[in-house]
Amino acid sequence: MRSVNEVEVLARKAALGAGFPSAQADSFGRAAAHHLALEGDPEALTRALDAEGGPILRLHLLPEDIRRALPLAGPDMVLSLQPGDAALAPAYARICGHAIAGCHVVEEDGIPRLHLSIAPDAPASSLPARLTLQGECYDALAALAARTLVPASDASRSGAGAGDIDND
Amino acid sequence: MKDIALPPLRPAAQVMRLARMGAGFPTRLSFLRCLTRRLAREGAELRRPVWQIDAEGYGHAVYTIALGGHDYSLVAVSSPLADEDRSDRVIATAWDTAYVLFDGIPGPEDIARITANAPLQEAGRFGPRDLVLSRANKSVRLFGHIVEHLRAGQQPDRDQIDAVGYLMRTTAVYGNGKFGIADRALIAGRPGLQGPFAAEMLTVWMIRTFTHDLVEHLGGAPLDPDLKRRLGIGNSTGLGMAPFLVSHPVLLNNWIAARETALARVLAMPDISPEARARLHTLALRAAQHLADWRVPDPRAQGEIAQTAREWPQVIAAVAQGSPSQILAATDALSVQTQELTVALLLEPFGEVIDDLAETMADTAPPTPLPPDTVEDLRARIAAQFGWALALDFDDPAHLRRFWYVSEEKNEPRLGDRFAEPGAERESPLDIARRVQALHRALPERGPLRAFREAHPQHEMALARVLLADAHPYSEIQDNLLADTTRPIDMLRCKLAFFGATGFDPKSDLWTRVTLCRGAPLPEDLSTPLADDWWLRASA
Repeated sequence: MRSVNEVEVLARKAALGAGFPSAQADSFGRAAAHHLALEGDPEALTRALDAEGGPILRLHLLPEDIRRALPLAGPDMVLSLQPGDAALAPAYARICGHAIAGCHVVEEDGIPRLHLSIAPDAPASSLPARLTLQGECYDALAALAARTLVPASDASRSGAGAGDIDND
Repeated sequence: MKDIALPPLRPAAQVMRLARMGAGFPTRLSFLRCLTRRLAREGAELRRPVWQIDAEGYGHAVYTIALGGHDYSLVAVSSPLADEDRSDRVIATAWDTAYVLFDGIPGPEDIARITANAPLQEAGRFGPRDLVLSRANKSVRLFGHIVEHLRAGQQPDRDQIDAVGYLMRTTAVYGNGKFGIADRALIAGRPGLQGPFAAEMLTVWMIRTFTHDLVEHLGGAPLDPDLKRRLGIGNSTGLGMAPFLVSHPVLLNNWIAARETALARVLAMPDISPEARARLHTLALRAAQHLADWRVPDPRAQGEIAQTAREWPQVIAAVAQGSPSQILAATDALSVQTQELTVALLLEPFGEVIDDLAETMADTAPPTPLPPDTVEDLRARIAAQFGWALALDFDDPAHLRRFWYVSEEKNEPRLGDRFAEPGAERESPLDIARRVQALHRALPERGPLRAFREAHPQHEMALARVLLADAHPYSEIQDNLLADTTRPIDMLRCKLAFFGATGFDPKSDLWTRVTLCRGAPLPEDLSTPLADDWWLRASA
């Protein structure tokens, strides 16, 4: 079991390590925590990280689309999705800043559509104290996140902190 | 007071420059001050239900305090440590003492779990009732000096206490989900813990009491309370803290905005009462003593301290007769550090006017504002908010030499030389100015913004920063963090001053030692006037 912050940070770094831009990596990190809280398939996270130009780039704009649609459509709305975005769309919807009263994806005429019901005056969606992230999914995220790390050099170590021994 | 028209707040172009941020001082809005005020207001009492410390000083203790209707307990673990293993570096693997702030009152199983895991720090595993994780090493010289004197039936030498200022120094205070501890969101709504780093500050204040108790336990006699007040908690802070100010722009804005609004409220006073003037004078003399006692080995820092000390009599003279705005104006031709010390001084006597601003300093996570519809609109916003970034010349290697990264060795932020060290391709996204400039260059002259964004997803982060800056004018450090002249120490001092730290003792441009809680109330002081009168009270 992991804290929400551990999941968010690991997923964000994994997205950076996979080559996605910073803002999209941030969104992915936050959405990953909601996806696991919704007991979504962890493999959807690793599939998204494998898909260059896929859901991580597109779904980054979904929370904004929801906020733009709210005053026009009211709290109940339907948004069309791109194929491949259905698995993570409910999680991205939950980072739009509003409480989600209901959310599911239905395929209609071959197009996945997000059916969303927002509670505009309620606090934004919260997360549980612990999330489950383990096994192959954790290993895959950790391996991608490791790509963001730089081996330390003697130059970087010198002056990055106190001396090696501090007995004064 | 809040109904009176305020003078304009100092502009971001002035207060968000690194040189000024790196000249900051604690104020009555600093987080430690907010904490001790709250503890005093609630009549909080610190209890010590467990003291399982042996004759050598090793074992564990538990302290409990009620705050905002919740109990919080510090579990402190003291362990033997060989001198050769005592390191303040984040790469250390063993410490004299380790701590967990626990949510509630721990039972025997909780205590057993924490005493097994806390000494492991990053290698341990923690749960949602563990709120903060920390560790501290002894200041061996001073610790030994005090123990020896107490054992001999004497009080230790005050000068030696003032020369160091702490019995132990923390090398990390972890919160918000690290290593499995509770996420900040779980406690952010609790009374007393809503403020930034409130749980961490509570932990540090309780650790300080443990260090006092431990030295008295080993010395076999009580330490004079006045000497105890002069002993805070040391802290070694390196690069790891610096990126926080960049990656939390709303929080940075809210801290600075609270201080600047407080200053504007004080400056709006056309005059001050004789009592307030007398109080300002007393505090100005206290600051003079602080400057006289503040000695550091770093020549540059010591030179700046000496300059402020030389200039300070002009401030004292202005305090004798001017309005707040006249007092501040008297520093216009003086050093930045003197100006910032004067700001902190001016806030101190006027708690009834400004203390409510402490409640505005947290980040309540407002959603990023919606982007404009057109490129033209975005261009105008960039020009209005980021002119300082557009003016930077990133074709000059000197302006691009540094790159921030996270080290494989310890997962900690580091700073490299782009032209001499490997790893720049894995650079951390702290280059806000460069990114905003790149966004501006990439924008077409006009057209729908959405189409540009979908075609150029790499600019979304810069876009978000521009949108934030509209409503958060203090959200960006208005300097180039990649320049070879950048001093991360300025970022550290800014943040540490908001914590309430004093005695800045820079060891390089990359790390500093400071003291927290020096002069702060002891637990038994919380019901006395000392509880909220400790601005620069002890020596630096």
